[in-house]
Amino acid sequence: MSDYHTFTVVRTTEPDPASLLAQLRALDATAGVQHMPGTKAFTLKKATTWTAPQITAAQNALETAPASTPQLTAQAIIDSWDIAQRAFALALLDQLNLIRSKLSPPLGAITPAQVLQAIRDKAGTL
Amino acid sequence: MSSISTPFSTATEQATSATGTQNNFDLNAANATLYCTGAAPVFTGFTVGGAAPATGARVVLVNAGSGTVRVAKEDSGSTAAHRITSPSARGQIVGVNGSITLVYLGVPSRWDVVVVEPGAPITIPYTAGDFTATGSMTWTVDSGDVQALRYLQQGNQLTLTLLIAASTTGGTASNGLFFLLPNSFTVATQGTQEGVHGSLSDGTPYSGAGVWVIITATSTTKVAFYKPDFANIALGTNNVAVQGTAVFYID
Repeated sequence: MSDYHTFTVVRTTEPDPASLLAQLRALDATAGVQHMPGTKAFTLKKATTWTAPQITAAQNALETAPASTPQLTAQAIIDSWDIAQRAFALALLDQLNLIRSKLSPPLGAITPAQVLQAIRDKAGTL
Repeated sequence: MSSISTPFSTATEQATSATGTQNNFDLNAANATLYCTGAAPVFTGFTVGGAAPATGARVVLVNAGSGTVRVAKEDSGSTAAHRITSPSARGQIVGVNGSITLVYLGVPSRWDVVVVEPGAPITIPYTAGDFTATGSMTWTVDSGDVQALRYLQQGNQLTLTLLIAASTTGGTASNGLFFLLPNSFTVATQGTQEGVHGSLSDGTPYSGAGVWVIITATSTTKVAFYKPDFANIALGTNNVAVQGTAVFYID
């Protein structure tokens, strides 16, 4: 039976949703968040009853999660790219790797994971 | 002096605490204001002074209670000449402090809904089975996931607000989430998307027009939510949110 607990934060910035959820799911894999941006109230849901230590840990996560920024939002979107978007990037990578292989001396292939991380890192700097 | 006032006289106030279905409900006067304090009365027809109403008779139903007041269209529970006609096949329902004004028309011998003040939004009771999904996907919405579920009806126009957060999708990923409309309301116009604006999050947020889609099948009783690109909604536990307000036409 799902259990809900309402928290009130003192922080003055909106937490980055993806970072917050990751922190909460490290505490409980079933954690979910209900929150109206601009308010200080968060209702957290999980599959089992909230314990006092879990409540304390969740409160800390709410207060310390990184603040929302355009860069973090972009990274979360990149992490959730669908097939079409990944196909675009990886098709270009295939051609880049072909060029790299023709060089003298040839350069090693860049892996899909490496290029997606590079895109993610770039989004973090813009 | 006749106890039956003329249609153009000062309105007579009448109060009722009636609940449930009310057939051939008797009004004290041909120009009446009926204050309803009972729980969810549904009027199927009115008489005036125990007799069939005359052309021009008028009644204003005022929801003075804490629930809803409704009139049913062409309901056989009342005698034909006492029945009600309305723009919507579902009659008309109003929330707290709402009102419905009806005037009796000689032709077609029916009370006609002529003015509606919807009143406060009407809360839709939570029912788990109202939330479904396309294909083999499941959409599980617990009662605690419902932050708001309410509507207003004004004739054929329905304003629906859903605020759902931390719900769960399971089964086989598909692209649509469904919500069953209350009161058997049925979508009137295929593909209608007037006034829709909402957001859908399956771990990644999507927002704007195109998230809400009034389902296009004929005579459907559901509204549907899709990502703007109609891609599959990711399966997730306690991380699916659907929020927004839509205005669309019902039958």
